[in-house]
This record gives sequence, C-alpha cells and structure tokens, in this order.
Amino acid sequence: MMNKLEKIIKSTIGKINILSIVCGVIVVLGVVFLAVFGYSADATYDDVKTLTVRVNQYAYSQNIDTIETVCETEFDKLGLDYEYDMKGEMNGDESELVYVFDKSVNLSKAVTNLNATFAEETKADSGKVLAGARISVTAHNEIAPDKLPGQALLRTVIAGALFGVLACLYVTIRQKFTNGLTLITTMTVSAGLTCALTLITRMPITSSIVYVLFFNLLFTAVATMLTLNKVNAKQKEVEDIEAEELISSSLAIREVLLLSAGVLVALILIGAIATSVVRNFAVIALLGLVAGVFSALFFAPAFYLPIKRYVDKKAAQRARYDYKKGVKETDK
Amino acid sequence: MGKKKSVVLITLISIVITILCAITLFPSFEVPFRIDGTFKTWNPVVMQYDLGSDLGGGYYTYYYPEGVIPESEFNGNYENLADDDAKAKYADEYVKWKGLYLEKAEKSIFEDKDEASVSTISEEFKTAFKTATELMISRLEAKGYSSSRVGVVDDYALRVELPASEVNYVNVFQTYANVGALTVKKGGAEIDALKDAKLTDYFSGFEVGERNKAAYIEIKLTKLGKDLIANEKSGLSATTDSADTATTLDFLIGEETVFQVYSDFISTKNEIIAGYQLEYLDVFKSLGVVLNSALKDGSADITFKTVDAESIRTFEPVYGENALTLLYIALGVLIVACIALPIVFYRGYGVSSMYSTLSYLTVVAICFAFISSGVFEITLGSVLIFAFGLLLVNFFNAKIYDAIKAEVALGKTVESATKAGYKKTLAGIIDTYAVLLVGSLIFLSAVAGVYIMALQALICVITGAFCNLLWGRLINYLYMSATKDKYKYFHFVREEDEDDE
Repeated sequence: MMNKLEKIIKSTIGKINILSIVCGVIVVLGVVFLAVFGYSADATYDDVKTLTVRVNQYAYSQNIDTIETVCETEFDKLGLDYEYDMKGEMNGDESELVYVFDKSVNLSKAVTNLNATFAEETKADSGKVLAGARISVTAHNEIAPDKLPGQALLRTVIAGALFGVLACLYVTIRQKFTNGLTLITTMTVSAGLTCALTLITRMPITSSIVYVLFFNLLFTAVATMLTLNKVNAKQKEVEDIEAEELISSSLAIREVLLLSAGVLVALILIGAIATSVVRNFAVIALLGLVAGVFSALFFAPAFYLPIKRYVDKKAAQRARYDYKKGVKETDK
Repeated sequence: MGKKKSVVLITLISIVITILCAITLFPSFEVPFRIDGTFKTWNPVVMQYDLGSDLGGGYYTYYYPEGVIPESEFNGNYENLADDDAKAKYADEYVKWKGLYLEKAEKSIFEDKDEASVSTISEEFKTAFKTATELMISRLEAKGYSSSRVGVVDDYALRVELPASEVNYVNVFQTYANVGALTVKKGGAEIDALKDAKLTDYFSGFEVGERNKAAYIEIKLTKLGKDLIANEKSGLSATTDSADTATTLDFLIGEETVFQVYSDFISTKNEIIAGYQLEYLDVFKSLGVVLNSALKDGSADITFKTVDAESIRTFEPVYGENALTLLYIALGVLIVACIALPIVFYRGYGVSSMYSTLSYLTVVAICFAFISSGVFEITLGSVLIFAFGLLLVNFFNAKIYDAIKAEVALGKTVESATKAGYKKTLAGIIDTYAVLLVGSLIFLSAVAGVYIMALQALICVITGAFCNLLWGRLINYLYMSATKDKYKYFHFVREEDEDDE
C-alpha cells in the first residue's frame, strides 16, 4: 500500500503542468460554483424565519417541556422541520422559545394553530398543566445582513498571505530559496483548494471557515516542512546529488500520512459525536486536511523539481568563467 | 546524573504533573468544609473557560426603534383593554407590518399620521434603520468577539447576539443601542469652534487600555484639537469640584452624555487621559468602541428604545446543549490515545513521552483558562488548534524515537544513539515550530475569532516546542539515567539477543 503510494507520488514528481491543471480546474470550478450558486450559509448565519413563543416566566420555568411538546406536535402535524431552536430565558417577566426555520417555510398556519391550542390549554378553568399561563406565538422574518464575516475573512486572507511570505523568507534563510518558494506555493495551492472544495461540496459555511483556513495553512506548512527538512538534510549530506534523486529520496510520505491520520482521527471524533453544525465544521476541516495532504505530498515535490533544476542551471551558468550578467547563452 | 537523583527528580515531577492534572481535570464537587466562612464548589480548569457562543451559548436582545413594537406586545396591550371601543382606538394607532406594529403618530416613521400605511413608511426611516444596522455590525466587529450576530427582524427591528464570554452584556447592549451623532459641548453649551466643523479634524480617536493597574481612556487629538483644548480648558471644573455645578467638556452621542472631561484629565501638553479603576476596563472598552464608531463611521437618525436588563435573554449553545461535553469526550479519547499508543509501541520512551503529553495538556489548559486579557474565548477553532498541537508533540516524539532507532541500527550504543537522534531531528523540529510561530504571530493581525485562535496557537506552539525540545528531552534523560536496561527502555532488541535467537 505504502509502496504503491510512494510509486504514484514519485511518478508525479516534476509533472507540475498536470498538477497545475488539476488544481486550476478545481479552483475554477469553485469560482464557477460561487458565481452560479453562491455559497451555502449555515442556518445560524443565514436569512431565516422564526416562530417565537413568548411565555410568562413562571410557566416557562415550570412547564417548558410541555410547551415544547405542544409546538413540536403541531410541527409534526404540518410537516415542518426547524433548523434549530433557542431557549431565550429572560431576567424579567417573560421568556421565549424561538424555533428557527428555513426562509422558504410558511409559518402562518403553524402560528394560527398554536395560538388556538395555547388559548385552550391556558384557560384558567381548563385544569390543564398550562392553565393560567400567558403564551403567545408570532412568526418573523429574520435577515442576516452579515452572513459571512467579511472583515474577518479579508484580514485572514491578508494575514495568510503575509504568513506565506514570512515562512518563505525564513525557510530561504535557514535552508534554500527553492525550499522557501516551494513552501509558499504549496500553502497557496492548499488554501485555494480548501476554499474551492468547500464551495463545490456546498458545505454550509459559518464564521468558523476562517478557523479552517488558518488551520489549513498551519497544517500545510508543517506537512511541507517535513519533506523540505529532509531535502535540506540530504543536500547537506550529499553535495552533488541530482535534483530528482534529492526530492524522490526525501519524500516524507510516512510522516505526512501519520500526522494527517492523527488529525483525521481528531476530526472524526469531533465530527462523529457532536451535533450537525460541529459536524459541518469537522467536514470542512477535513476538506482542508485533504487539500493540505495533496499539496504537501503531490504538489510540493512536483513543483520543487523544475524550480530546483532552473535554479541549479542558473547557478551553473553563473559559475562559468565567461558569465556576464544580462547576457543570454544564445547571444554568446 | 546518578540513578538516585534521577528517581527523586522523576518522583517530584510526577507529583507536580499529577497535581496539575487534578487541577485541570478533576470533576466538580462541593467542598465539604467552609472556606472563608462559606461552602464552595471545586471547579476544574476545563470548566472555567470563557466560551464562544458556538460552545457556550450567550445573550440576545431586540432593538426596537421608537414607535415600533412587536406583535406580542401589541396583542398583550390589546387584550388588556377593557372594552371594544378602546381596543378599536388602540388598533387604529398602529400599522401592522409582518410581526411588528408601527405607531402612526411616530414622526420618524410616517410623515403624515392620517395617511400612515405600509406603503407610506418614510424613506428616511428605512435609510436610517439600514445605517443603524451597519453601525451595529461594525461595532460588534470592532469589539472583537469570536462570534456575534445581528439579525434584522421583520425589516424594522434588530436581534443582536453576544457570546457567553461577555460578562458585561447588559452594558454592551445598552451602550451599543446609541447610534446617534457625536457632539462635544462645554458646560452644556455648544463650542463655537466646533459649530459646522468635522469632529475628525479635532479628534482622531479614543484609546482605551490598561496602564499602572488602572483603566484609562485617552482622547487622541489632532493639532487643531490640541489648540482647541488649550483654549477651552480654562473654566473646566476638576473632579473634586461639586458635581452639580461642575463645568465639563461633554461628549454626547445623540442626546446622551457618555463621557465627561474634567480639567484634571488634561495634561500640560493638552493631552486628555482619564484614569479609572481597573474593574471598569471592559465597560470603557465598550464605550471606546461606540465613541470611535460615532466619530469615524457616522450616525443614524434613529433612536432605539432603551434596552433594560430584564429584556435580555440568555440562550444555550446553538450547536446543542451537550456540544461541549461531547467535545470534551472526543478530546479525552484523543488524549488517552496519545498517552497509550506511545507506551504500547515505545515502552519506557513512551512513558517519558506521556510526560510531554500531560505537560502540554495542563499548561495549555491552564493558559486557556486564566489568560483573561480582552476577549479570550474557547471556540471550535481553539479545539482544533489544541488537538493539532497535541498531535504535533507526539508526532515529533515519534520522529525522535525513529531517529534513535536508526542510530542504534547503525551499531551505536543507546546513549550515543539517543544523543545523535536528538541532534539529527533538532533542526527540523526547530524549523517547523519556527514557521508555526511565525504563522501564529502573523495571524495576531487578524480580527475576532481568528485573532483569538492565533493567540491560542501561539500558546500551543510555544508549549509544544518546549515539550519537544527541552522538557521531553529532560524527562527522557532522567528515565534513561534511572533505567538499567536501556534497550528494554526503548523497546529495542539487542543484536546479540537476535543472534542468540
């Protein structure tokens, strides 16, 4: 299995054109999906319809379960599914239960029926659990003017770009320019793929998308560094090593897979036992992980080889006794 | 180091880590004796986090402009009226719009009371409400919450959510409701120089912070502003003067005076800095956000009704009441795996690796709980970054083990192989952590949740680097010194043993 994967990765070393096309197609697809369908916002950040049940505090604290049962029975009768609910407990005399529905749902019948049901249930002489309670049901449209935290996203993108540049500088100083360039390119590709895959798969986006982007950049940096560290060590060990041999003997496949397996287990644990929105977050983070592993294992070696060859060629030219700056080989 | 010394040190370190683990994780219980005269509840560190609304829920309230009431309030008032005439008269005072009722007599909504209908809602009101919504969003962004939400309810009311970590939520809701224009007066009268002038020509911003264990607000002045203060400071009262007759430089938002400058707030260089007790820092931070917003983002010609504390609702996490418990279980499984697997595969080295894992866990958990400057919330991003750091610590420990194993395979003794293994992996680990450190520092320039996540990443990276580069090494050294059979400690097979077989 491992050998097969190693063979596949080694066969893609240097094939930057094919991998660039693959990545380009995915990113373009993501852009097309964004342009045509927009992004899918999570219910907690989207335009919604709400059904608000206002209850006097005493009845709320004593009989909230009964009130919920009445509401949910009515929703079942009408075939209505709510996205989530909020129990808004107040310090004052009135609390409320807010059911959040998709913006396309018509709630007028539910409001009429629930008001009628609660009017019966709350009659002082009804002898029922809710007798004497004050309950009113209203429906509202709620528009979220700030579905995506635009400012936060912009600042994250700027910070991400700066991180890439500084990481590239650090690696260039500590190792080689080719390593630094490979790192920043791989990080850019990984972030682009994460965004594109999230848009293509139509995962509901919350503000936590910015967390995933940040995590994706950190993970890709670490995963790529594992290979680059090996390349650097190998270069110090063997000076006249061929570029292709250098990269193919330095692939950190096992390490990257081991680290990503750990993150995968963590994400599965978080996603599997938590609620739906956490699951969505875990799935988007998983897409980021896939993009990071692909970029570090396939894209980085493919990108490194031609760059290394180009840099080596230039270095060889510069080392020649008849080298003149700005004069091309063909001019001589 | 001698064997005895190593054992003593390992024992001491083990006791400290056990105590730290207990502080971090031991479940809540009622303390069976009185402390300071009262019975108290023990809460572990992991129960003391400021949670973002995704994990801890929060608070929300509605902002209704003057003349707008919700349907439930209208219905309540209507039902309470004694006779049909009064009910009809009351109903005639309002126009129903979706789930809201708009008062016909409210000049800001309808220009003509008699022609008030849903089609005659004034454009000025609509524009002012839109501006107020934008102001609210920008103020919440400026406060830096990891999660907050503004929803426009039925076009003319706002529902604003704050995370549970905002302890001064009443103050924030009340302060942020003021979207009026900023004006500056002296002793209640307009200042001539400021008539028809742009305030930004005089004031460049309001800075709120902490200095010398006190909270302060500094009004940043331009050159024109300093000249203005130089002219106006004479005649201002000092804080010690009687409050009833005091003449102050008043900063008003709408009709409300939000900040007063006394003569003793003004330095000889005409700078304005007001100091307060540190406990008011959060309150002044909210005020600073509103003052800066009013100065730079402008105002909306709308007045929201006062938000009283009784109208603020608390809500449970939208991801489900048990989201946090489930996440703790998930993290618990991960931590147990990070402890058990190295012990299974690496034996003694796995035990020393456990110390790194537990140290990372306790240090990060304690830092996350007790760093309280600004908004420091635990969100899903925090969980992700914590888990990543934990995995990284164990991953590098495994890498070091592999390097030592490779050196032993070359025929070196365990001691020299350990030294060589650490040496060979050192540069790679330093470079990786350095890049992560750079990333964490750079992302501190982001806002809201990412800024907080960057702070947490910084803690995780520094702790992880410490555990891998120093702490893990020390523990391993101590264990090796205390162990007789070092091959067994590393779960290695001696070559002569292999030959025997």
